[in-house]
Amino acid sequence: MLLFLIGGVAGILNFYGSWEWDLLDYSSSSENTLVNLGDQNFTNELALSFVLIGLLILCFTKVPHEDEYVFRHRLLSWQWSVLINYILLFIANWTLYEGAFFSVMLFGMLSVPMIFLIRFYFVLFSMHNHEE
Amino acid sequence: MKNKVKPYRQLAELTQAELAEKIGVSRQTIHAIEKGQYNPSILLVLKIASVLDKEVEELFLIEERDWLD
Repeated sequence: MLLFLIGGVAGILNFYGSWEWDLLDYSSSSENTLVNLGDQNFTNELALSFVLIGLLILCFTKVPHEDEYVFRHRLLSWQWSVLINYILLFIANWTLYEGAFFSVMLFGMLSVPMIFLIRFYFVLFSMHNHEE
Repeated sequence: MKNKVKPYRQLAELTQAELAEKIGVSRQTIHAIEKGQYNPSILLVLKIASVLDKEVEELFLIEERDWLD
């Protein structure tokens, strides 16, 4: 969760505020044209990695008393998240262009685990509200 | 598939939570099985039958429409 939050805050600051951590500056003078990074700052790469790893850890962490019924909901939630993600991408393909579409593609990298988490924990919350 | 888990559980004077604890699942899973919202695995079926001291066929009944799926 902490990894996700640190990555998320750094990513938002980088994406919307163009903030970069100087420590992650890199300058290459390599003549190799195949792998030539040039002058780079790796703040956004590190932020996205933190967010992705944090989200995946959250997704695959077992809940207390996880049994086959919960596992079935886990699988169904993955199925739902992939389906919803592609529906959103399809809509974005026809309604958004250029910069806005790029933003959606960036969000699309994170939307599958995020939709999964929302659906899975909503189902768990609903299950716990059932009375005998 | 129909099941008679609830009446046999009540006959055994067990609550959902007690049955769930004996077979190592959550109370919500027993609730879902009794409501017919979830068909349990063979392992879970055998555990339920063992705890309630019944044959599997007494607890779980196949219906006509199950043959059509």
